[in-house]
Amino acid sequence: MKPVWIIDDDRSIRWVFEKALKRENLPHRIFESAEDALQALETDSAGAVLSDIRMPGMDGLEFMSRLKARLPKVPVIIMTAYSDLDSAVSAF
Amino acid sequence: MNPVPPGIDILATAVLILDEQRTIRHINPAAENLFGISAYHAIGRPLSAILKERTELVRAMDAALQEGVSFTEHHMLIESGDHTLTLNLTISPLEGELGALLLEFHSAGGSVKIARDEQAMAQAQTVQMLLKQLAHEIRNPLGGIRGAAQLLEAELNGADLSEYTQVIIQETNRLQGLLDRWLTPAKRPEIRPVNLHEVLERVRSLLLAEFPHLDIERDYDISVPTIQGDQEQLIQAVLNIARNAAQSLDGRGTVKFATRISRQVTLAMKRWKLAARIDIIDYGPGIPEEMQDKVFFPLVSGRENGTGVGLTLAQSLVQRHEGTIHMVSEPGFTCFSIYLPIK
Repeated sequence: MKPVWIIDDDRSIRWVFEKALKRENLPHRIFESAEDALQALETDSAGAVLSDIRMPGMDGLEFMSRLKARLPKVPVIIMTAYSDLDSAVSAF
Repeated sequence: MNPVPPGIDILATAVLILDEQRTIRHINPAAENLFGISAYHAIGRPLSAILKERTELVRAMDAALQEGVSFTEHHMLIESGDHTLTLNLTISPLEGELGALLLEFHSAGGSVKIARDEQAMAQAQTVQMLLKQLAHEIRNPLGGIRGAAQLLEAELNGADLSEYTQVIIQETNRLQGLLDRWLTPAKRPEIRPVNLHEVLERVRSLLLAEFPHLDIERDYDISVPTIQGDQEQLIQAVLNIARNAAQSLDGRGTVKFATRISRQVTLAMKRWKLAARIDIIDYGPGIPEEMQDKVFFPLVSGRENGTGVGLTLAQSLVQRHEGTIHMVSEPGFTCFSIYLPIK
């Protein structure tokens, strides 16, 4: 299966995902920024994407729309620190 | 009779001249205006007829009389009829036939004392913002610690060792809960007509469920009109304050809810003709003087398990309604007053 892509600017969050996915034997790629992931899209594709919203540089929502433009079928899970969707959305 | 210097009546400053018994000898047009009473009705009557003579005021007048010295009091809360005014007052002793005391009242910006003045408010907001940023920085590493503990636990064979990872997980949960309460911006308020007595009755039921031995008295002015606001948020704000009162009594004692109408109030530097006032009163030990200034800041809590965000949240919910919270506390009496403008 195609690897799961993780995009998060926080080191400890990336670590947790790396370990958890490894444990489950799921192929994965870890990115520090949306820009890095975007670049990888030139040559590779993802099975699924889990991305943080707020990151320095390109945010997760923008990455998602760019991804959808190229590979509309890839499922995307957006992670947010906000406790409810309403405020996460209104923050934008 | 007593020749009043001609200048007094053309002054914009409100002036009263009293004799030794604090009977009004002269009142200038500015004072007639300020206190809403005509000279005809004021002259010859005691000072207490036009304004409430609070201890500090009486003390200042006595001191001026006895010591022959002038006093100026800043930001004095003066209750006159239905109005609560914030004024700067200069009291000067007089010699001769004119009278015994000269009182000059200057408007002090008319703000009902809450978080003191504009500068204090701005400071408080900066502090809150910094704390919010800090909380945000803490969130991710906390998630990392929790995740690592969970992964570790999955690798453990023995149940004894998982006790350690459980402690890590539970404590990070506790911290995350604190940050959640702190960081969650209140949802956009749904503005509808709200009956404040319904809000208070709901808070009363919730509070009695949590503190079954509490006695909650009501002193409602049912003429208080509905206000435009978000009912859930107002319930939350009132509940946080009332819960504080209940906790200070250890769940046993009397808390009183009162409602009144307030006229001509200034809330957060904006003037309103009418406002509703909710008083939450307890007769408990009171808030220690050192803490009174900081009571609305997050993380200030007198209790061991207190999260210290309840009053901060109440303050910000009330502010979203363009209202403010005023607090008075001394041993034996604490009163939080929530002012909400009636639009």
